[in-house]
Amino acid sequence: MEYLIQNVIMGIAIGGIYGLIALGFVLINKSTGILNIAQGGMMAIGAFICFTLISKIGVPFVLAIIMTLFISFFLGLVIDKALFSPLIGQPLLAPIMMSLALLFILEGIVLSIWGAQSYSFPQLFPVAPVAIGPFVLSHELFFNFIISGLLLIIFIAFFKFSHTGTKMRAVADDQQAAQAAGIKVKKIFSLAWGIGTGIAALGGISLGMITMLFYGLSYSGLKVLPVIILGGIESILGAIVGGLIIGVLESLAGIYVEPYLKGSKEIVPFVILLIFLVFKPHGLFGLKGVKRI
Amino acid sequence: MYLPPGTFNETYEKDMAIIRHKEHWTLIIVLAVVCFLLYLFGNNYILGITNLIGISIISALGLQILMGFAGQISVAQAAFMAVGAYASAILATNGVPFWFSIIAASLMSGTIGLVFGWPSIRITGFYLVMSTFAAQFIIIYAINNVFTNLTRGTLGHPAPIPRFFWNFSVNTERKWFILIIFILAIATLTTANLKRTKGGRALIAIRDNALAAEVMGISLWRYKLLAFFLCCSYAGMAGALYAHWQGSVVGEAFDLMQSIWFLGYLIVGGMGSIPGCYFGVILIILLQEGLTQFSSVLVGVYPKATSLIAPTKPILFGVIVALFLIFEPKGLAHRWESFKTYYRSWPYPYITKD
Repeated sequence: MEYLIQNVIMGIAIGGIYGLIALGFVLINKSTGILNIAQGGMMAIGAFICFTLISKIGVPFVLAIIMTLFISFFLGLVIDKALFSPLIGQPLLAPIMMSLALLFILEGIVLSIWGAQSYSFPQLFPVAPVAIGPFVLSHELFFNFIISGLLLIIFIAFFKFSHTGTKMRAVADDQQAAQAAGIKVKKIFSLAWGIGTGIAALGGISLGMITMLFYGLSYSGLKVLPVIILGGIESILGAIVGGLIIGVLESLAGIYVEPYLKGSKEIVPFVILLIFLVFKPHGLFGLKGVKRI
Repeated sequence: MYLPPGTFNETYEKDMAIIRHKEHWTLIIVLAVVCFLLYLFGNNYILGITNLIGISIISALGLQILMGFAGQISVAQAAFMAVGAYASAILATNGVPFWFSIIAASLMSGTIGLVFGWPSIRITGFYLVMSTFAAQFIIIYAINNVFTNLTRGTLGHPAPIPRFFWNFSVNTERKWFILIIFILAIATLTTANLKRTKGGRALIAIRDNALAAEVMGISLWRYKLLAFFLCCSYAGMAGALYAHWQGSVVGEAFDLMQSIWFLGYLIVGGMGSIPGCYFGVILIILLQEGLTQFSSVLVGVYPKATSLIAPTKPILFGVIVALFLIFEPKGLAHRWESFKTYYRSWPYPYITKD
């Protein structure tokens, strides 16, 4: 029993990171309507930038994270201006294809700068784990969990109460109407891409800290897809809850199914994704129903 | 639809024909001559690339039916190729003749396609992308980890050389070239024919407006699944050919990246156009090959450049697709049409301006 609870706690902590990555996806989708599959690539590049700042240049940890956020923000602006702005008005396939292309470009950039070998972040937290009652959790996971919780609250408040957040929601709802109301739609798009890329970088740093740092990180980012389908692609709360559920299920599959089927840990999220698509396509917290024909 | 002057449709047969006018004939004769020259003078390297192009076009044609005609999306084409490849390899190892094994493989791939196309009845667009993403991961996972006693897991499965009557075996690139061109011709004809059948028109109606199509009495359920079945059976056929051509089959050869390359072929070539498939596949595979050659030359000169070669392939893909999406979203097929228009009206370009 204790083993089970220990694993659930681990799953919740990892799920927090998935939720964080999904948050970036939902943020971009909520304001621009673009479904950005390249979230994983943005994650990987952010993690590598932070790693380089810390271990090659020797910037202190907190400062490195802040610098990474700034760099990622500008990367997001560039992505928006160069790749996605020209696609406004084209059918759905075009932005999806563009995000796949972006995924490959980012992967290629990571490969060409940092190569195919794997790195690990320097030990930044105490090795001794945090004790929660009788259960233990590593400092990294604990820290990441706190960060995702904080970001969740910040973004829910941001969308609910701030002026910019309201504008973003308006743009997501109806671009023409928002433009007619005097909102600068393109500016909102750039902002969303900037913030989304920043969050992706945070997610990448978190994931890079608990696992290895290598170019395949961009494929771990694909796990965000089950998370958002489970939570509903327009819901911030859904992103976090979906992340937690996928994290826990993955962790449980790791101990109960893995001995019988090798590698099932990787596939369980996608099985859940398929089940949800057939029976409840708009997810747990999806705001709009999927258009059915 | 444009028809050149002097085309008179005097009978229904002429109106319905696939090859209708001189331009078609010219194109076919040019293609036949190119194939013949390749057969006569191509060395193993060139024929190998041509065979790869042929197999890829067969699979791309299937995806064209699903995406270009029926307007659905699939990012699991390579996984369905893997199904066909393994099915045919396993059957042929157990002594089933080549023709039966590739046809059975393509049917099996189509049937599995039906299972994963099932959600398409209820969902569209991005959600469909997600469901085929799941298909890609689940199929490759199942091949590598679940059915290991059939597929031999990650070790790969050997695929025997096809033998026809009287022990005539297809064992050189030149013989493969004939076989692949033959099957490619059948696949192209079937696809072109699909456009003028009831089913093909139903698919196009679903693409243009699903609601209107259903109101007209087209069963979405039936025709969407038909599109998935056709798409996946083309993929299965291509996969089976690939397996026998390579001599063995590994699950890793059919990963997500491969599937996305197929989407790239269609984007570059042009949605909904059969010549588009040819243009897209030929352009991208030739570019890939050129890049490989160029980088091996580069390594010969600067040995330090080795680390720069692995990332060129994904970057090449990303850049090509991004450029086409931004500057020519209708693909090379559209470019070809506008070139023909230009050529036809030269030197009076204003007569075709509308």
